[in-house]
Amino acid sequence: MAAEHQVTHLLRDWGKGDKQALDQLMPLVYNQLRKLAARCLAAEGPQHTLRATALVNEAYLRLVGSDVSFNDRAHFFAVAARLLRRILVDHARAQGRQKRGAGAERLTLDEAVMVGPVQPELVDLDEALERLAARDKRKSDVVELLFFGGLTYDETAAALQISTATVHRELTMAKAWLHRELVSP
Amino acid sequence: MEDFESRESWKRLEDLFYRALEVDPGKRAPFLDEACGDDLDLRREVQSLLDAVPGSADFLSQPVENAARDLYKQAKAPALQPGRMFERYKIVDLAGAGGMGQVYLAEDSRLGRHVALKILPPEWIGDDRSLLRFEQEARAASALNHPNIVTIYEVGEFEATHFIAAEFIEGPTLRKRLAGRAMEIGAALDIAVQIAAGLVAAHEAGIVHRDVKPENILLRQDGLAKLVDFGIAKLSEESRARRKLPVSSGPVSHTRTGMKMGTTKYMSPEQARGFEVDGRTDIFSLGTVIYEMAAGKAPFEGETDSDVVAEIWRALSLRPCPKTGRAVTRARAHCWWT
Repeated sequence: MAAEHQVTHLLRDWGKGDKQALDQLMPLVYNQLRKLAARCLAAEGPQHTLRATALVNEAYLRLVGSDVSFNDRAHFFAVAARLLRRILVDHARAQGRQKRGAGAERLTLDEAVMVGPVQPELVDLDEALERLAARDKRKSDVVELLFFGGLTYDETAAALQISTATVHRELTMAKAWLHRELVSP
Repeated sequence: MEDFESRESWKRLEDLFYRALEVDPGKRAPFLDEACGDDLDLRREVQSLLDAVPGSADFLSQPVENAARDLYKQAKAPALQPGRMFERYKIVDLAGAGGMGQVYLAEDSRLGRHVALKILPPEWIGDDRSLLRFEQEARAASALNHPNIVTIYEVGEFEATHFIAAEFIEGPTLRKRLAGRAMEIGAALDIAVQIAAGLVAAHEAGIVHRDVKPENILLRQDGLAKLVDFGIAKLSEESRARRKLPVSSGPVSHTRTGMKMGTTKYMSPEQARGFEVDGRTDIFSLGTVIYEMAAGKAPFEGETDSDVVAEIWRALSLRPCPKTGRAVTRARAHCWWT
């Protein structure tokens, strides 16, 4: 089976809940990313201005191909964003194991004010996002589609079948809640 | 503190939060006092969320961006580290990486000599048929034994990765040597004659190179010129065709990351248009290389690959035959160079 169709099938299966499909998906996306990175190494040009997330997305899109035959495009984007989030978080988790010890302390609000904006670890962010999803799935989806899926506000609105204004609103509260979770008083 | 996990509490919180945002900041406190009444927990909760809004503006994109950059950097790193064993070859260093996979300088642990270990991108070997074709082609190329062709030692597979072990050449590619300038004519002709000799040997064995260009010509210190990467261009093309990407001359500017797939500048007219090729294609390509060595720049240029192809056909006064689409004056084009 051609790689392209294989990925689409695996995505579909995973979207339906087949966990093994994810195991097969991950190496494919990683390989694609490696290939893309190697070519950029050789080309050495405009890709330096591309954002890293765009590259991960690009690698992913090249795997799937431009022809998405999913009946439900919204579902496709949701699954794609989730996959990309998994890839990034798993990778960050593996890196983190090497860098920090268990139970890194969170800054108090005062400390945060003094040293400047805190950049939370992606792993912590991911966990906070899970907790948010338990209370309000739509807000978590908004964050996932925008930041991991790389969708625009309009695309996110379409995927979730809400208005763009609602996306903005949901994002405002989601960010406030997440920020409060990650930089605790 | 109440956790606000229950559906109703969350809904109340959300409702208040959104309404408070719409109220003038100066009037928020009284608004909240009124809306919350004596529910102090709710008041505290909404307030803390409102307080968090200013600081939360940009903080989400950064961790995601950092993680993606990390992952990308990891992907860029060569797959094989120096010192590691790959089958019976010990990796010494990464010699080069391009669209054709990575090339390593490695040591053959059995024979104790240096080899160039070329690792093929896994997605190129799409199915058993193309794999078989690749192996046949590689085997045929490995049967070639000529001073002006890089000798192939082994074609194999190790841990699901396909590789080619070949003679390692110490010296620059013709591309590096050219460095955008014309060469002294004597040196240019010397290289041309050597590569032509290599092509004669290959063509006599029924092998077409398909990708003769300055990047595929290695120049050894002692003056020996060698042709590298026989038949691999075909594999790349097939892989792209499978994935429905442009096979030969897709415009460079179309790809978002600006990747160059296929150096159209050196393609023969029939190759550029995707027609069948044979040994004469190599001769044409060699001709363009000779031109570039002598003139300092390639004969056919253009902003996109399509422009280059159009230029090749135009400059040689070629027209596609209305019936077959093939080049009408193909014979003449090849006589131009030989």
